[in-house]
Amino acid sequence: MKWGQRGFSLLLRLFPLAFRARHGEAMREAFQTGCEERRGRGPVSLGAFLFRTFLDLVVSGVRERVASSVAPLRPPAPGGFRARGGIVSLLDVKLGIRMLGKYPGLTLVSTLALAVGIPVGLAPSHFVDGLMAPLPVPRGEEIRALRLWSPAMGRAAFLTSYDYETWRPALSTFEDIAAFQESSYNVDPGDGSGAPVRGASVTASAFEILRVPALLGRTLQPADQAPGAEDVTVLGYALWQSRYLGDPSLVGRTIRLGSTPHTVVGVMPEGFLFPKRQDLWTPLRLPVGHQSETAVPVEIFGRLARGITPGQAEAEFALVSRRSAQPERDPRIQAGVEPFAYTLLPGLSGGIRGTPEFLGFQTLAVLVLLVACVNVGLLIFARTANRADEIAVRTALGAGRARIVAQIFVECLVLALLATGAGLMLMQLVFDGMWRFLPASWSAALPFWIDWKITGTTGVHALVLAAASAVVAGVVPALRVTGGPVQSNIQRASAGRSGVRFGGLSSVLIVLDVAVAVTAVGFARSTADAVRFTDISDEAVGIPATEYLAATIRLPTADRADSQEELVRRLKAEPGVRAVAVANSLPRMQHGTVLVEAEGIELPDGRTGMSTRLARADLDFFDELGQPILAGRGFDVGDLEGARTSVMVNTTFVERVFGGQNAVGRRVRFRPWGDGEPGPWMEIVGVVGHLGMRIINPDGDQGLYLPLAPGDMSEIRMAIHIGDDPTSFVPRLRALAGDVDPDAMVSILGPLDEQYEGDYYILMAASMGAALLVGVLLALASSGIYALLSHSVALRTREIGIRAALGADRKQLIRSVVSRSLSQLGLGVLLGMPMAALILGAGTRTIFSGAAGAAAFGLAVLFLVAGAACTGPTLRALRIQPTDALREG
Amino acid sequence: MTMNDAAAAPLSARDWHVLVALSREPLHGYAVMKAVGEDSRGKVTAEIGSLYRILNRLMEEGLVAETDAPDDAPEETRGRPRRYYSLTDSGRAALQAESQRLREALDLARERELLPDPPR
Repeated sequence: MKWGQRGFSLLLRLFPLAFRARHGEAMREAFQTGCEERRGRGPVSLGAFLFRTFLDLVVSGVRERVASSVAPLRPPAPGGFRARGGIVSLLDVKLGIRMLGKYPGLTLVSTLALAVGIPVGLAPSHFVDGLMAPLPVPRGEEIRALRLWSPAMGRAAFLTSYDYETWRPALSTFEDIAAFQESSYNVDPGDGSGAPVRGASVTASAFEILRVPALLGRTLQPADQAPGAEDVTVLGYALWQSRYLGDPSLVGRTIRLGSTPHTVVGVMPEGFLFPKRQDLWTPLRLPVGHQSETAVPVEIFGRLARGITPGQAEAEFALVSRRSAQPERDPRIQAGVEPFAYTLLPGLSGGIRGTPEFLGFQTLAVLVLLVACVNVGLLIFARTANRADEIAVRTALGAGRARIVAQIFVECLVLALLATGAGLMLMQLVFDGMWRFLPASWSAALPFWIDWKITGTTGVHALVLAAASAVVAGVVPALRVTGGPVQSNIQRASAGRSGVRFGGLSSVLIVLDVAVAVTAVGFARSTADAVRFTDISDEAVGIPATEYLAATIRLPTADRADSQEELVRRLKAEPGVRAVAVANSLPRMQHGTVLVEAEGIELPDGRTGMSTRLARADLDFFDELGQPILAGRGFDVGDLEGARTSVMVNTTFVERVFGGQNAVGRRVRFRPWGDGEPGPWMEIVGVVGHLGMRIINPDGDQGLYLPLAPGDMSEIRMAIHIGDDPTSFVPRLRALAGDVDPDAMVSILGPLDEQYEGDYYILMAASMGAALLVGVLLALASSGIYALLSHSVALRTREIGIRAALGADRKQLIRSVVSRSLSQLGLGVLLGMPMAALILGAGTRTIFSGAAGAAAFGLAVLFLVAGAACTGPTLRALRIQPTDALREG
Repeated sequence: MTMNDAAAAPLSARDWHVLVALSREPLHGYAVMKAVGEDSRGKVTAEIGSLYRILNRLMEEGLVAETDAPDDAPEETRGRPRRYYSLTDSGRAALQAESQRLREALDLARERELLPDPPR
């Protein structure tokens, strides 16, 4: 029955803390007694008891919580929650709930609008909270990174093992501090079974500070750090499971990290991936002798001593770091004791929330929420105006204005709370689903502490936003509706019409809604086009990308030139391998961007160079990819000698820089992005076609190639032409690489056609975000039009009835009903089209070349939606019976 | 609400049954729950959550108080001492007042021939 007790304890948490403190033990005791008694009567009796008890706990717990939360507000009154004389009463809440059912269309649209608006308003803050979550270790919030902020560099200064050894004995506000270095390890290489493993060298103090014991064996100890000590390692759970099938006898055995044997001394529990997403730890051996010259770069963190605030620790750290500052360090450097998550960021002394980017996003998000609130306010206004008679009667019976406004506010609050619940679920779905859209390499690189679950804090923020939304959407319209003198409201009510009219503001809002929706539809359509384009760009790239395997090879050893040559030679000798192209960046992938100046070419606006994509390519690169040299020649051995002044360019470069004229023999040089001297002149020796240096926008992929010699870079990328199913070659590639160099690390990227440059993901995110925004804006715009039409039909009931009685034509009636909305729609579109054209045309040029077409598409979609919104009220107008209309007068 | 107010205010059926259950002797929570069900022949029930809400409220209103266990009660159950509840003087007064009201209501019902006279 342990699960029964656990369930009971869990549900007991629904009661307020004070209640639990007073009665929790007694309730558990009663539950136990009940269970024991029922168990004797058989399983059915026990099951029924559990069911009744649990159900009752849920209901009672929620009721007690609600009662205790409103208790301070309510005046003492017999019989529970009643506040007849107060501003807000339970009756208002009940009325609010009834209103949800009475106006289902309004409920649906408003809930949808706020269910999107509220999470959008919350999202930036929630995103940052999740990113900056404390480490998931005991009392993780006490773990702090020690960092020095360099104003001159605009980033955190590098720390060294010298700093660690100096600060450790001097800092009393920390329980202890530790240092680590991130690294990659080739675990038991050569069997072709695995990729490099992310690991870290850590001081033994790290594990003590983190307070996470080993699952098997032990963690690292100070003796492991001593020079000459045995090489040991601690494995992560995932590595232990995947590579060693969870073999418990692994502890004590020896494995190879690269070419060095290490004894496994422990395995860490599942989910421990400190510092970011590491799966293996070795001792950080500090250089012998405490000298800054021989120090190694590290990152430093510590656990705050009990009762010490980050501010106190920072004050001491500032003092200690200043006292021990090395002479070469900038004296303006500021000390910071920051949440551990800040080790992700190169800089940011004031945290993410202080950045203009965050403030910009947050402002935009709140603006979307505000648009949603205003539109819901329009709907509430229309509904409230239709209830003017009820309000007038209540006023006549003595209800004050504040009382009526409060009632409408509570109705709105009920709606907002419903929307908040739906919105939080939606937000959780989006944050959960986001992982699926991230490339595997990104999600595998995300730090382990990131936690985007909805927390209590998020819930509280959501409730605050819900209350604020209820104020904007409820109180403002209510004040307007109740604004007139009581007498005139009663007269209007007695005349059977509200007489409350929308002001000009609502028309302006609808026009703006439409304009923004047209722009958003256009934007969404264009981004979708751009995403679609990347799918077909294989032909544009001109390489059978599905047949190539892309891999990153890291050769850390000094003789990597020989290793690289040997590996390429062996790969080419493999049966089934048709070609091996080597470069630092393969087609379709992210390429670096440089500023390039061409001799004799003047650029407009005083620009010194043209933004150009850059790749370093092996001498055979173009041959191996089957790409012809279109002009001049390809690279040859001579290009690798001396100062290396040969470059190749692609046809886009020739078109955009030289206007399509012969580029061979012309000279170019690199320009720095800021001030500084340009590089030496280099000669263009050949021209190739464009090979996907910027697949998102092939028109803007002007690119330049430099020759790459074996060993130039420790990390290279290979495109290996296999044919069908290129990934089948992965084990063989790993085996060959391990054979050539045991320290070689092979990261498989996958088939070449699945590689996208980073912009692709930004585009995907923008596309999805835009689609969501379009949905919201269209719903809002159409709901605004619907509200306006409904209200105008309600106001004109009598007029329409009389006109129908006098034999007015149905078409004429329809025209008179929808003309105002259509004119607002038309005005909105007229405003929206140039806005769309401006944003899409100016901002994104070639990608969004179809701006006008996209805006036209937006227009069509909007007319459809608006047409649907007009249908209901128009039909209602046509159904008005002349007799009914005349009776109302 | 003062204790006198509480004593004078009408009681709900559940409150009344809880007070009746405690009128003879102090009881622990589960015994109250059982007594309410048995006294009302199953017509009134109070599961654990509801019962403790009622007890909490009655304690706040001064009608019920925690009390020492009776001498013949087992000292503890599974290492935890049981909590007992008893009627206060106000609670007894409220119970009597409500019972009186119920009797008057019953008399009225009989007078209007809504109920048969009790067997003599």
